[in-house]
Amino acid sequence: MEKVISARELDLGYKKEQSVLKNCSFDINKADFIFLTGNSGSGKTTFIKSLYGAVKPRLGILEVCGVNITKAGTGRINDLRKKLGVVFQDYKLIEEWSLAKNVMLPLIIAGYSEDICAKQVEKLLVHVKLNHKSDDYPKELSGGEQQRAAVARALVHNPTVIIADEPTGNLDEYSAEVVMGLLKTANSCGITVIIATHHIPSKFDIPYRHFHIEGKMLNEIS
Amino acid sequence: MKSLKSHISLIFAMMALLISYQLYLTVLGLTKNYEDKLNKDYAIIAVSSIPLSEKELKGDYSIVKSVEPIDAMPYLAYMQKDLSSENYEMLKNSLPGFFKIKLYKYPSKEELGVIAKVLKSKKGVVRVETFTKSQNAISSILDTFKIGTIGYLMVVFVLNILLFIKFMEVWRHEHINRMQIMSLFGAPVWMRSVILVKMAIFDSILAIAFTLGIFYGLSVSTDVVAYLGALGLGDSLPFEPLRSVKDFSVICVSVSFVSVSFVAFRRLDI
Repeated sequence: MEKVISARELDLGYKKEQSVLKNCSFDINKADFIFLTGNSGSGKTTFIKSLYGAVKPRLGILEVCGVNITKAGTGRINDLRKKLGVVFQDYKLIEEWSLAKNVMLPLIIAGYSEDICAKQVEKLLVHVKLNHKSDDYPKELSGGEQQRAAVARALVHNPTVIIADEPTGNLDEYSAEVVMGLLKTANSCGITVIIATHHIPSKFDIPYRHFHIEGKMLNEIS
Repeated sequence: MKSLKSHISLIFAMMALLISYQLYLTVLGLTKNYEDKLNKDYAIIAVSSIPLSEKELKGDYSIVKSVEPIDAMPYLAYMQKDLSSENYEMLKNSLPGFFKIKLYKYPSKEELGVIAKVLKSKKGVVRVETFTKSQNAISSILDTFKIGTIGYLMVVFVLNILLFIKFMEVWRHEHINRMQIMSLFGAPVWMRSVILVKMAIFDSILAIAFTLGIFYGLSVSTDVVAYLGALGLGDSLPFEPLRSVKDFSVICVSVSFVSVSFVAFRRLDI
């Protein structure tokens, strides 16, 4: 099994505050589908942030896609982020950009030509059923549509890992199912998916691993 | 609309900086014009029993422009009718030489003190008249005007800088969301800031053009020229477009660089 993420005796937290997570050790393999659960304030978001280098470990080792987050500088963190797709509860779309340009963002950052970007975005927007809204701005879209666009943006550059922080938290049941379906499809293509959520969907029909945070400890529930 | 407002605010802030700088140059130019005009009519008079050497004086003091002897004959001729021929001859033979010393620039009080001292130390010099009283009064007025205006413009400049700092905070607030999102996907600082750089360049060009337009308009305005003439401040507004373009560009590039860096390199909490 190819390890994508690996942590040893990981301790996460913010400056001058107590640790949020203590002594965590785990491995996540390629094409794993992970649900991360825990109560509000348990440290799910801190954990997710650490995976894309926004929170640096206080102690221990955290390696994501071959990058040691503990030691990596800004350049290495930027390189890592190019290999990741991140989805947020509040979508984080750029308001002044059209939907197509928002989805194109990771490709622009990777330096692809306009032609390639346009073709890839068109393909993805068809996949998420938003091709008819490519010129619309985020404010003109519903929450479900914005989140589908955010998932499309996370997928467009064929990332190694998709990290989603409560991606269905603001969505109705139908939109949540659509978004979950897109993440499942991505996983079936070999992409590792990590979702922080309060509830694992009841009818979830593919194998997954369940990580739970409680009392500053991260445990895998078998 | 938000973007337009943002552009207009930046252009105004830049223009305020450029205008205060150009006003500073203008005040310096006008006082120089006035000093040149005063200098044209000003000379130090020295009385010496032996001729003064222009070369020697220039070597002693670099602002000496020329040393010209004053012809005493017209004055002697005027007095001749009231004097006997013997007395006239005696006066003519014993009369020392009078010299008019012109300077390259209107001297300050200190410079005048130094040059008078140098002249008095010369062999044969019996008297030096620098017209100190009236010269000092004019020099003080000019200095006060210059210092006052420059002080005022410095205050304006500092206030503009403070305005800019405030404006940078607004800029940061406007762009932070986009920059944070770009950062999440691994965009380097230059890529996140490219829109700020473009905006700064575009707005700088407009601010430079508008400011140049204002001062060009003033420099060719017949009313302004007439007003300056009436005040004895020369026959044109001191304004060199090429120099201004160069200086304005340096100011705008510096201010833009600092502003963009302030926004781009601040920590992004994502």
